[in-house]
Amino acid sequence: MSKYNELNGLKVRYLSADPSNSQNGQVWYNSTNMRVAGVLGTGAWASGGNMNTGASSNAGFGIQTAAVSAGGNTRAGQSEEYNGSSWTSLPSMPRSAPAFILGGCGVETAGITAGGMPGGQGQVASSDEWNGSSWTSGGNMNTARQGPRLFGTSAAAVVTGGRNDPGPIINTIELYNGSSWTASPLNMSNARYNHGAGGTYTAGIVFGGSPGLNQTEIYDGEGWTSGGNMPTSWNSMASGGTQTSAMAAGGYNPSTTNNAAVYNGTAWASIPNMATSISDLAGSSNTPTSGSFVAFGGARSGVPGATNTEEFTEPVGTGTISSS
Amino acid sequence: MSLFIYGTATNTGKNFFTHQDRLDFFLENHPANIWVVGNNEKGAVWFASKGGITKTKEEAQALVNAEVTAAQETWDAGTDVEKERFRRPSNIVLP
Repeated sequence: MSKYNELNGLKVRYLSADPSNSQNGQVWYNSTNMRVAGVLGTGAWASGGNMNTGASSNAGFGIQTAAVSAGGNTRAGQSEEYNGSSWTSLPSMPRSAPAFILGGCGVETAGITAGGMPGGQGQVASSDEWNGSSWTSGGNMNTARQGPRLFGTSAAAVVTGGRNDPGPIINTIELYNGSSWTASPLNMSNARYNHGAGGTYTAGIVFGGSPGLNQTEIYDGEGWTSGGNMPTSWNSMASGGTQTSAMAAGGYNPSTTNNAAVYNGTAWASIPNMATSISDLAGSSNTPTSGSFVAFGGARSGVPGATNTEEFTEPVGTGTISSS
Repeated sequence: MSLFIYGTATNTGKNFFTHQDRLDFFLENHPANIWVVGNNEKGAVWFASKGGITKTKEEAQALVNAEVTAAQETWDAGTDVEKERFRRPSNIVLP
């Protein structure tokens, strides 16, 4: 009988829990549930259900099988929910000035969107909360932001960066407690908008963004540290995940792309491309792992508000340990 | 034999192409419902099963160009506010 260490020159690692940033081909033994597990297949993108109404520069949150797309160009104020197979239209957002180029984060029952461009110019400070069945107005940010990105949930969120058109791109952040926003003194090192983001209130990550950034920054609730750089400058992508398992898909790098990449806590690595080159799309920002992600909406040449949905799945297989 | 099959097909959504399809053959989608499909057995079967209409590369490129040019002309004729909302569509060269 062949043995793993004879085939691979390595022993199987004993871990108390499945790693959150598992890589393709990695095998481990989970000593808690006494099972061998591993990433047995290659990740790839598959088509998801088409959205009911196309939208670019929309906000996204949730996970691959319970995601929300909110607002967006060509669909201002509307929102839809994805169940892993098809999209269902939701009630309109409560904003008096429906916006696009907005940010969002949270889970399907506790999501929040903030900022955005209300027409063809300017930005808003408003936020809206989704509780799984209805939208309500949230608190206003202290600074109006176009193209900010958020991480956390509607009860504890962080908004990062944005553009204060015609003023500067900003590096400030604000903290949300479920009812009001507080300006934080913990600025990012880089001013950025239309960037990528993921994570939780005290464990966030931002990456890329305009103008021409490839830098990654890690937030721990007390400040920012630098992470590994993206392979190229990258903005207006679908993004999400965690500090140790983040996803960037589509966007501009530096032209409209179908590239995708994942971050493992140290470095970015390219993964298979999406089928469609598309920018200004959104994704399941609160996915617990980059190996289970859905990207939706966006703009592609000739289609300013696309209905496209693509799902990235990296198979994780498990099996019982056998004696030999 | 050419590397790719070119043609039109309409993306019907969930499972139009699957995770396994993407592992089995090259696949790209472009404006005008143009698909570029890896020219192997599985790619050809997939394209036929989707009711794909085969085009030559030149025909496919012409369809893409026509849609992109129309979108560029629409953008160019737009107001400053509209131009702020949308980016100008860029040209696409099929592989």
